[in-house]
Amino acid sequence: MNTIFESLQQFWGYTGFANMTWQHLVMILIGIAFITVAILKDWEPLLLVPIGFGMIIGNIPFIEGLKIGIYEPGSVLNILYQGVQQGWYPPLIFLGIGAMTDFSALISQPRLMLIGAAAQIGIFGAYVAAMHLGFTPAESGAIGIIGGADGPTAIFLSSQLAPHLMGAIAVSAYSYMALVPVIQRPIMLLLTTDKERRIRMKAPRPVSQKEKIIFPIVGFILTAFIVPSGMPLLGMLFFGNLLKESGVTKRLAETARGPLIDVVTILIGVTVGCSTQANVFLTGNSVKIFALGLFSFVVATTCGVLFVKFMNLFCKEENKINPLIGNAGVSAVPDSARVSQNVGREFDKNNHLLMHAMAPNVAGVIGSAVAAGILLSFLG
Amino acid sequence: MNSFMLLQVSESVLAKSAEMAEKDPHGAIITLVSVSVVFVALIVLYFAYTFIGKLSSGEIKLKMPKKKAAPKPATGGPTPEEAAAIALALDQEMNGEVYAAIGMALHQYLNDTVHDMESYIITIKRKPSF
Repeated sequence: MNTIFESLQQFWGYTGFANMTWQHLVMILIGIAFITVAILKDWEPLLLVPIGFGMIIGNIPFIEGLKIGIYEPGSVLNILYQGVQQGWYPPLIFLGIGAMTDFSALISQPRLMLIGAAAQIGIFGAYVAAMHLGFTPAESGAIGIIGGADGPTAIFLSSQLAPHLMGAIAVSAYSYMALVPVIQRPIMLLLTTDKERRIRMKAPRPVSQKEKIIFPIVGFILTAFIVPSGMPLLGMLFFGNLLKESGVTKRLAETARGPLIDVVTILIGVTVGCSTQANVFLTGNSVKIFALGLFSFVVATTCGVLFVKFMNLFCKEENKINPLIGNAGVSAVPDSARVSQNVGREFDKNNHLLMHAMAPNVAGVIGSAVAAGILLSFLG
Repeated sequence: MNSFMLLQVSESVLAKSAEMAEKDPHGAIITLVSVSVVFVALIVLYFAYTFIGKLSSGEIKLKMPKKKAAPKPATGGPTPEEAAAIALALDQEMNGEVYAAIGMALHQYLNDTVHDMESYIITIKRKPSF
């Protein structure tokens, strides 16, 4: 009888109930909240569902030593997590993004590329703020990249500069990307006049197949020569786009933008979610990171909108740009471009800004990869 | 092995970070340089794509080097003037037999080298030389 009781007691010691702390419970609830929001509000479901469920997986309490935790070398989760930690997953996601993105809007209106550059100021605004909050330069760089509104870039940079903060940074980046409509709209309305919101932009010129093929080759060579440290992200982004546009690698492009990106998204989402183990995630630093992430989104959106207004000072009347596309420079493809479209239509039902907003939007992807490369070369 | 060793920052990052904290404690220099580089990168792309766009739409036309005149035949070959004179002389002197001989020679040459099947009909059209 005694042996049975002792065995049961030993088994109880291994259960999640015996090892649970309030922090585990909080993280599990946050995971459930992510899944709920993704399903009910349709906010970035492809990311929030895997991350949310990953949070639940990662916060089931257990006794270390059984090779099951994500931070225990040799465990299945740990092996899958290597893709995040060593930075394999983000370039693969960029390959898929390149293969599914149509850069025509940008090729036909290259001047809109500068909006994508202006919005990257949010990254460095958060960098300075993080430095003042006591983070080291490497940690500040990793936190600042949240302002690039690009999950894979944030994971790539934080895995190199501040792996101990990666969970908080990734969750913060994806959360704010999902909240783009909520964050950006009031800023856009605050910074624009009624007249500016009604500006109709000229239809972009048609782009030839030859230009579309030249775009990724020239784009990669120029950006990689300027910032070689951004090569893994930029190389895969432009390579994916070449697969799409070359017209002779249809199967490869379909794999990159279909099964490959889906597999990597599942792995990156679940493992990043798992990495938010309560004892690593629930710290004062995470709260600061969330605050800084919000700050970087606000600065990025503000700079994007204000930069369009600045550009308009030098544009002829017929070439004016609607400042409502300025927010799209923060990346978050294609959600921020959709925000431009929706806000624009609130003031002029027949003014479709989506096509124009896609230009700074994809420029933002290039800009954030360049910014990550610069930070890596300074701090990595 | 401590599980959280996996979360440690590499030595080089720590060293560079410490150096940067000393040189640029407020982050102003790195911000200024980085923002400038981002702008430069995208401005370079802007100029490149504007140029490519103009080239593609025909707004700018690249001056292609003019085609060089055909090189003179190897030493001993006739000049165009000499060839014209020879053609003129042949034209005056040739009868049907000469055409047949040329046709036969061409047929044998082509049959041996280029084509598998020939129609055996070769038409020689008289054209005024120059």
